[in-house]
This record gives sequence, structure tokens and C-alpha cells, in this order.
Amino acid sequence: MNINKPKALLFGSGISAFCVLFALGMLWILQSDWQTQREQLQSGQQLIVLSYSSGYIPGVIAGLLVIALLFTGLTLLLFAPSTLQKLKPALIKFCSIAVLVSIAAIFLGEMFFARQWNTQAQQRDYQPCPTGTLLSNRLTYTAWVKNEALCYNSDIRRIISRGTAEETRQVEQYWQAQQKQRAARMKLQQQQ
Amino acid sequence: MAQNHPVLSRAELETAFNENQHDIFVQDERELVELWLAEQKSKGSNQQQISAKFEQLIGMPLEDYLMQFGKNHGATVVSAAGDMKALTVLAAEMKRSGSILGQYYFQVQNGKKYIIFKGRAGLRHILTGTRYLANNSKVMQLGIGGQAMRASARGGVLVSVIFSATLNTIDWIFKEEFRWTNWLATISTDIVKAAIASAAGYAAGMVVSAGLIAVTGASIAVFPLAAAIFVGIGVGLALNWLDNKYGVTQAIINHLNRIEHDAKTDISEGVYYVISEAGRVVKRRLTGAIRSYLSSLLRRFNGIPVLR
Repeated sequence: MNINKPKALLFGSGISAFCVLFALGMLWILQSDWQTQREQLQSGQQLIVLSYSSGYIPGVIAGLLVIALLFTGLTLLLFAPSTLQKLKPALIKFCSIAVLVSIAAIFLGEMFFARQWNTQAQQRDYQPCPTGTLLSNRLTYTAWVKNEALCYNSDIRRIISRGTAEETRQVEQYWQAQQKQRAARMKLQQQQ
Repeated sequence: MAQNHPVLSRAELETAFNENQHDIFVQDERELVELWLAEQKSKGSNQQQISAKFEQLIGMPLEDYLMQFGKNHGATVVSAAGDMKALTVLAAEMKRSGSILGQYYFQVQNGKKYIIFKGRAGLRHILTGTRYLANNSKVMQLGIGGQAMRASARGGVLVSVIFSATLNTIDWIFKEEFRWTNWLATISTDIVKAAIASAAGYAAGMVVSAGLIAVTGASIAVFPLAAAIFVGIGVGLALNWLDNKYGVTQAIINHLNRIEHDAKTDISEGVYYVISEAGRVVKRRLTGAIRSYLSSLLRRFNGIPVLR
């Protein structure tokens, strides 16, 4: 099959550029997500939500970079002297293995990072809400609490519907207000 | 997508994908002989020509071979140790004629010999015209073409819809706080996200496949599928991140709650209006009736002016 070099160059450079840009976008989402997770863990709030979906991202980034490498290499080889053409099968073989490793890394990465976040949460005295209490419709989210009673509180169940950082702040405000009311009630009882 | 592309037309893309659909055949000795015979018939050879060619290749008349094969097969003595001549000779001949693409392999399983090979597209049609082969042959289609990826994308959306609908319905049934507005908004956004991610994955797979054909002259099955996985998952995660950041689902829930509240308010205001208007009419009628009654009473007593 004859290769149309301008077309091949267009495809090769276009796909490589897309993969690199998409990988950069994913990297930005990853750091943003991890920043949010760290803030949640360091906040000391009564209830935090950990999202594990960002654990898939490193594998996705690796895979996209492998595809970018493949297309860049194959495109460059089109213009390389014939002595370098023997590198083509080696490049394809390397990229095939790397792409399969990246697919495995997507799922293994999620497990690894989920374990990391869970360990950090446990070290900060949090415990996960039992299954079916909070965020049961969100598979990659888990609510962690310092006091398990919060998982069964109907007001909190009403606030936590999507598992965003804003919702956990609202829960904290609600909790603080409850504490103040309790303190005021106790003070009143002591005065009486 | 291909229509907008300045270089590759849709027809070219479809041709490229069709060329890269491969059939993998797993056949035992008898099936391969049957396939060879059916192929010879499809090429227009008559029975005499086929028999002559077979005898030339195997060194045994076709009729004798089939009879012997039938006896052996009936007595289950066709074993791994048996004669592999027909299998190897016919495979070599089919490779020469272009029916078998690439390498072919022999495998022994449960005492039976099998040949595994990648065949050209036309062989599948020959199988369907042969009753014995159509019932017995094992053919696996390994595709990287549009159909396979479209099916995967559709499957991805379906799985997401089933998961989302099931989990959200359970919450709706068992949780008082999870209202119909949550259910509708969550499922709607989940379906939209899954559809966009699957479409993006499908498009990525197609583009990578076309790219490989453009750059190397052939597609390599693992890369389009991998690209579809990476882009599909990536787009799904990005959409989820955007949803959380900008609160799209929450905004829809709030909007539905507002619509519900407005509807309730409108209904209650309507009911209040109807009741109050009805009360006013009844009151007016009653007042009128009392006045006219009093007037008629007063009219009986002369000298007392009529109430107006």
C-alpha cells in the first residue's frame, strides 16, 4: 500500500498533538482533584467525601502519551533513511506492550490511590459511612465521618447528594450550629 | 467527523475499516476438507476437477478419503497421532491461493487436531452455504472496524444507564431525602455523560485506526481499541469533574424543585381563588336573597319604606 506522506503527516501530527493536549488536560484535572482531596483531609471537618475516580487518570495519561509516542515515531520514520526503518517493528512492539500496561495501570492505579486515600483518612480518625447510608448512588465516592451518627442524620442526608466540597462545608456549618445550640441549652439548664 | 476532514472521505474510512475486519477460523480436519471442497465449488470447479485436484494434493482419491474419514471418525480413531497430511497439505494450498492470511497454527485439544487461521472475508460466506460447516465451524470475528467499536460504545452507554437507573431507583425507593427531582436530574446527566464519553471513545478509535492506515498502511488492532478506552474514560472523568465543579446536576435538581414549588403554589393559589370567588358569589347571592325577603316583608306593612 502506497503511503500518502502529506496525509500521513497530517494524521500523525494531529493525533500526537491531540493526545498530548488531552493528557495535559487530564493532568490538570488530576492535580485539581488531588488538591481538593488533600484540602478535605486537612480540613478536620466532621464529614469529608473522598472521590476515587481520579485514580484512573494516571493510566489514561500514560496511555495517551504512548499513543502520541507511537504516532510521532511512525511519522518521523516516514522521512527517516531506510537504515532506520528497521526500528518500526520495535517501536510498534514497544508501544503495544506499553499500551497494554497503561490499560492495566488504569484499574490498578485506581485501587492503589484509593488505598492511599483511605489510609490517610483512617490516620486522621475518620471512618467510612456504612454502605447504603450516604452517597450510595455514587460508586466512586465515599463519605468519611468522625462520628458515625452523622451517616444516619436525615438533615445531613438531605445536604449530601452529590458529594462536593461545598456540601461538606454546609454539613460542617450545620454541625457547628447544632453544637452551639446544645451548648446554649446546657448553659441554660445549669443556670436554672 | 470524516465528512469535515479535508483528506479522508467517509467512503475511504469505511473501506479501510472493512478491510481490517478479520475472521479467525478454528477447524478440525474434516471441517477444513469440507471448507476446501466448498471453496473449490464456489470457484466454479466441477466434481471431477475437484476430485483430480484433491488426488494430486493428498495422493488419495477424494471418495476414498471421505469414506475412510467417515469410518475413522465413527470409530473415534482420529487422534493427535493420526495422519495430519490432509490438514497440512490443504492449509498450504489454501495459503497459496490467498484464502488463509498470515500464519496458521495446529493445535491438539482433547485428542483432536485443529487448525487455527485468519481467513479472507469471502470464506465466511462459503461457510454459511455449507450445512455441515455452518453447524460445526468455530469462527471468531476479530474486528477493529466501525461495527465492533459502535457496538462497544453502545454497550458502554447501556451499562451506564442500567447502573445509574438501578442505584438511583434504589435510593428513590428507600431514602426519604432522595426525591423524584434528584432521581430525574441524576439519571439524565449520567446518560448524557455516558453518551458523550462513548461517542468520544468511538470517534478516537476510528481516528486512530484511520491514522494508522494513513501512516503505516495497515491498522494494528490494539491501538484503536486502547485509544477508545483512554479517550472514553478520560472524557467521562472530565465531564464528571466539570459537573462537580459547576454543579450542573445540582442546578437541574434545584430547577426541578423550583418548578415543583411553583406548580404547587399555582395550584394552591388557584384553589384559593376558586374558593374565595365561590364564597363571594354565595355571599352576594345570599345577601340579595335576604334583602329581597326583607323587602317583601316590609312591603306587607304599609307606610314603612322599602329597603334598597
